[in-house]
Amino acid sequence: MNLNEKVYDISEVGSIEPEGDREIVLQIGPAHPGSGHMRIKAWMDGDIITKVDADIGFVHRTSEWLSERRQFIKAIPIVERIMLPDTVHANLAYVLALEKILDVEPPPRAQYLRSLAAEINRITSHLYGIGLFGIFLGSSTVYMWAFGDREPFIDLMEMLTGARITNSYIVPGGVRWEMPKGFKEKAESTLQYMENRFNDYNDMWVKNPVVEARTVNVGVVDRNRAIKLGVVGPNLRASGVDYDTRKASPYAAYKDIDFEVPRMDHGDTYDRLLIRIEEIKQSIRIIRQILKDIPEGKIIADSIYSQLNPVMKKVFEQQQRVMFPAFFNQMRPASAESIARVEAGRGEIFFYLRTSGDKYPYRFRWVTPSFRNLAYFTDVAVGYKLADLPAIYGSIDYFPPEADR
Amino acid sequence: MIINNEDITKTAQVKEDEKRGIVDIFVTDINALKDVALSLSKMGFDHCLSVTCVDYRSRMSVMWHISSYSKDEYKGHVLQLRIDVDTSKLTPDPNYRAPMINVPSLVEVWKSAEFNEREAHEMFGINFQGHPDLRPILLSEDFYGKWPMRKDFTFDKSGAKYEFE
Amino acid sequence: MGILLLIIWLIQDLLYLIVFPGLIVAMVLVILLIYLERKIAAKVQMRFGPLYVSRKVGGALQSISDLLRFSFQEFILPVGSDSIAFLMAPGFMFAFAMMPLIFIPVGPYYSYLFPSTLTILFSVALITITPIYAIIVGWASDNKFSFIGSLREALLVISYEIPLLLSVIAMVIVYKTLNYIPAVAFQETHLPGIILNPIAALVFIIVAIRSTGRFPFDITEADSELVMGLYTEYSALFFGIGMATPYIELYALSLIFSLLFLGGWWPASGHATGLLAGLFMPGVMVIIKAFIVMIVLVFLRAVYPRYRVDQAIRSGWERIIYLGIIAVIISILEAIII
Repeated sequence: MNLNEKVYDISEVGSIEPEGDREIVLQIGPAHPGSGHMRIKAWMDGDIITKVDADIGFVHRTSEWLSERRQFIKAIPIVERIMLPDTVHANLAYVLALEKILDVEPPPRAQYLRSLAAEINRITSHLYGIGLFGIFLGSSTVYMWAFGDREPFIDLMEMLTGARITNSYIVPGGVRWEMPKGFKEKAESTLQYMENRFNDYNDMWVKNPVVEARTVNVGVVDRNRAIKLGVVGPNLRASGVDYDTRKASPYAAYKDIDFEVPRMDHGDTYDRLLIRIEEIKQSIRIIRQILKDIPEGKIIADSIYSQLNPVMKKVFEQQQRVMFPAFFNQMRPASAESIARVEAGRGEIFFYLRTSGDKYPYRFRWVTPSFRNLAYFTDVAVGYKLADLPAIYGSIDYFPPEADR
Repeated sequence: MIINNEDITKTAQVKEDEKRGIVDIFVTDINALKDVALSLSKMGFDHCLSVTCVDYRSRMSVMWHISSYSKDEYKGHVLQLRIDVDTSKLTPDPNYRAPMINVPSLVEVWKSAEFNEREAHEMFGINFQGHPDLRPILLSEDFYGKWPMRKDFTFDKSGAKYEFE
Repeated sequence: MGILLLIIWLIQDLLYLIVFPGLIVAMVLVILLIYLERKIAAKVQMRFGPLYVSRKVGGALQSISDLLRFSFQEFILPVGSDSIAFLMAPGFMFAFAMMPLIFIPVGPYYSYLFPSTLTILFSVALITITPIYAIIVGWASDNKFSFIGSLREALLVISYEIPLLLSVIAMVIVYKTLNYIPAVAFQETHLPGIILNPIAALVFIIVAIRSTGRFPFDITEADSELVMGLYTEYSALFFGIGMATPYIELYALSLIFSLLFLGGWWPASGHATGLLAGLFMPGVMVIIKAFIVMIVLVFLRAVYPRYRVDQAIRSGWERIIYLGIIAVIISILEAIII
């Protein structure tokens, strides 16, 4: 018997219409251990899913509405709180869109620090995803391991930015804190720790026969289908599409950094697991490069620095942190529109910002990766079994608060 | 210029903003929208990032942000397919706080626009004609018809009011 | 005088059922096992496990505190449930999980307490009754998740019961008896069953994992799919009973395993008689062996995720059953040789 063989052909099963009373409708969530803050409505024929409807919005926090009624700077904490495992990227995407309107270019050292924070954040985000995938398949060990191994990287972020999760590290024109003393050594030891842990993950999780049986050939999305559904991030690359925003339209310091974009061919649940581990390895490589190559210089653009008053300049010289004057809150960018794209841990964040010369954004639009990955539920899960739904859910690293915004 | 296709420039004004990364394709004729979208899709712009509206009070700007996964030369560009609808002459609808605005749906061209169009529908009251499944997605049912992201939407500041059945 | 002997005999029977190795020892072992399961898994998972209840003894009283909490929780009877079945089924399930212990001797003195020559047959037959009540539990709850859980239980029971019987039959063929006591005596004079027929032991262990819902066969209670499986609608003590039942089953199956495959009470007794040397000392030996088996089985939680139900059923029908048949063939060959 080959447990890994494909059990059902989606094209066949997609046409099944259950007869009579065979159909049952499962309301998975919003209070269900396998749903997160959403409701998955699954129509079942026996054990086979014939239709899925993802009912999201249970944690909609009206971030666009709120941000359109606040000063520009105050939107940074709002977008961060939407994407808690991915805060740096949300912050960075918004600031990139705002900088294009303000016409500010951060200095090279700030660009490198941004990339550094983003890559540490990417590792924590992927570990978060791997851990939740573990508990969805029933492995509490990997869940605990991944969340435990996320901790050193969060400590690293705390050392770099002063906060564990909601850092608000990136501001228009640069970053808020200089890299502290001893950070390089600590970062290097953390990276070495993570590299040693890969063997444990391989033994316990990636090469585990049960994991292979559960994930290989489950939730297959081939290249064309992935493009058509418009999925993003590691899920897209697991389906064999060579696309990474860091390469396609480089931001921060990614122009100068040498890294590879890992890619898988098959696009099943197992590939979506492997690609996250490969991306962690690439992130480690990027962090090492940044720590080696980071240029000296200011961490804030001159145009902003020149506006600081003498006390703030003194604070900046002594403590290497940027204090912002109050008028920063009252800035009125010229009427313009801009877009920004950032490759976050879960995929591409898209920002559209429209200003009208007022204190508040006129239109604040952003699309998070999880929202664009929603098609995985409604389209991909059909034809698989009920027990595959958590496997698919876990593998796409879907985060409901992020999708609901 | 990345857009020099005759079919598109015939019916749309293309404006490129290198610095801010926007290629704006302004379709003046609402009936030509789908044709422009189809020719963009044939060029290789294969997915939709976002469906956005901007409410300029007298007109509503609906825009599809599209990009490409498959063509290397287009990967770094985001096109903004835009259409403006005059909202001053719409007839009021008693079912909704403000009348819906009819715009053709582009889900047939870009499947990835499906959830985005649903969101734009409930937030701005855009009636995407031809959308297969135009239900509200994020907000609760009692918010339907209020179009909260429009600029004329206001809250009762005395506190959140809820009508229980 | 005869009446007095009869009364003593009856009291000994009752003590066998209720104290040793029956209810009380079983419950103590289960409480200890749950604590050890959580503690060992925590060790693997880089955390502490139960700690804050009774910190001085490393949280050992956590399971007792859980038991107390279950006892004093509010019990909720769902409106749509079949209330009689809903209330009765967990009790029956627990009772039938305990019942095989009557027919499992933990020492040679047992033959004086319950004179029977068919103990293997009876104990294995009683083990197969428990799942019926598990199915009733799922049906009575009037919950789709419970219902799916009970259907899964039914499918899995059907596909794993035959290998269990095949594995036991294989050993019966080798020992040429349906009674545990001669079977243990056979192992004392020859070799332990696990060496005589390792494939039968393997099949038995896999079926034990399956029928007690340990990982990777934690399918009927898969929390990311079915909330809590069969027990979704249960609360309070009924939930506690439902959770304890698989552990009692595990205890019974481990006892059978240690008797059939691990040499029973060897080396604790020769052919001793009397309550202490004939029942208590060998019983402790058997229970220690069984407890080690139990710890190994619950440790799997830290290693494996869970299989999908169709994969488990397939491996039942397409792999384990053939292993069972091979085990029987090996036993037949051995029986001819010995």
